[in-house]
Amino acid sequence: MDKSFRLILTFFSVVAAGLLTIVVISLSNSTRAVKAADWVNHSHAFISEIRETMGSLNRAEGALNAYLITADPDHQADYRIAFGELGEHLEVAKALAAQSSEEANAVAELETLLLTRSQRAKAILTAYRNDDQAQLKATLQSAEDTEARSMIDRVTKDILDRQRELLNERDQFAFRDDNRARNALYVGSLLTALMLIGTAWFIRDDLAARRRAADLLARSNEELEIKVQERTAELVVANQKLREENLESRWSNQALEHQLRYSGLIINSLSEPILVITKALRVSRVNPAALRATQRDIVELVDHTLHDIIKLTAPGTNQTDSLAPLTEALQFGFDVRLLPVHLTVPGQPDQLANLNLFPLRDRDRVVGAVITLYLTPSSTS
Amino acid sequence: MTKHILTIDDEDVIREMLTDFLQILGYRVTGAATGAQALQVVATDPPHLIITDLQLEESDGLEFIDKFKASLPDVPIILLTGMLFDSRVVEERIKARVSAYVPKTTPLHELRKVVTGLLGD
Repeated sequence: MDKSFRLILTFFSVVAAGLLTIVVISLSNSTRAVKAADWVNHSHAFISEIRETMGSLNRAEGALNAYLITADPDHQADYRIAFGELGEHLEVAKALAAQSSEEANAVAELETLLLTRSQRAKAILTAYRNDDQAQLKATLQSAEDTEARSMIDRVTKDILDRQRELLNERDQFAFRDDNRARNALYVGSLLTALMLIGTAWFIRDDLAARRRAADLLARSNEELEIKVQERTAELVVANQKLREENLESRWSNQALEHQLRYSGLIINSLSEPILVITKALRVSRVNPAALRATQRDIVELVDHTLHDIIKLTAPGTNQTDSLAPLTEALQFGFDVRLLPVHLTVPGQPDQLANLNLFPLRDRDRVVGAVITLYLTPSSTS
Repeated sequence: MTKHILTIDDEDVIREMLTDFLQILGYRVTGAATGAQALQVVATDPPHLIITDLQLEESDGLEFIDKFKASLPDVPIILLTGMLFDSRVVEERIKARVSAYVPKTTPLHELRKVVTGLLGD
């Protein structure tokens, strides 16, 4: 895997982890907020029920006092209704306090005190119905009665104060929680934004680096291509030159061969015998006319000395002489013209002929000679 | 456009070497072994230059040179031959009928000068 890709993957993993943390914190905060709201609602409901309980007590005892004064049955009905409502609110308050032992204990204490108020009311009504004024007066003016009412007020006040205190604590806790969650969100968002900016920066740098590398590679390829083309062109030129040289060499060879063949054709077509000799009077080449005139095979002529083939005719006679004039001509490099000679023919009489010698020079040095024989018609000796 | 050269020689080796050499120089080359083949090329694919031998199997090259000149009067003709003429004969007889006379003993690089000179390259 590419190193840059791994790094980018790591960056995005960190960003994803940051976002996940923010989501978890948000969900947790939301759940806590919901719970806190439920609790606040519960506290307000509890406070409301306690207040309603106390309100019902006040209405019930007010209606009882009015009934004692007026004996109006409506007031009697009112205090009964009020006591009934008191019981209902107390039951609701007990239910709301069920999950907290502290609240349950407080409500139980309040219930006990309210029960005494209920028993007091029953005692007052019994004395009132029996017209027992002394008992009625004693009950209404007793110090215990006043103290019991004060205790109810104190317990009620304690319950409400405690609930307000708890609400206050909850508010403070919720405020700290909100601040913590907000800060976490800010920090998480900031880190995520920084990571994304860093990742974008890195990707931009990486892309720029890749682009530079691609440009460099393209330039290298272009340079390489140019070098290859130059080298190829050099090779093509060198190859062409080599082919030209090769052709030139072949052309020269064929020209030389052609000229040799052409010269050979000319020489071979001459009717006079021609012998090419070395400086030592040894035959190196002959034409077909020489073979015919001497009636010998080529191997009997070539590499043999001229003494085997011709003899000089002594001046003024038909006798043969040495080949001294030819040796001298070769030594000093002069032509010999129309020198009478005897041409020896195996099994036949010698044939008379005139000899021309032309020295062959190689850079001013005589290396041999060309001999042409002019046969004398019917000149056998 | 690549210029076209017609080479006429009855020797295969000579024809092949000439073709190779002229192709190296960048020309399009058609080889003909006989005068009849050469006349067909002249009719179907007229060359910019003709290089011909003097001695052809079926006839004299000079005879075909006259026919080439009749068909393509502006096309230069090089007589490339192994026959060695006397310089006077060349000056007075041969050069009057061809654009250039080149003995076969001439090196190829000299032939190149003659070809490029006649084609204006």
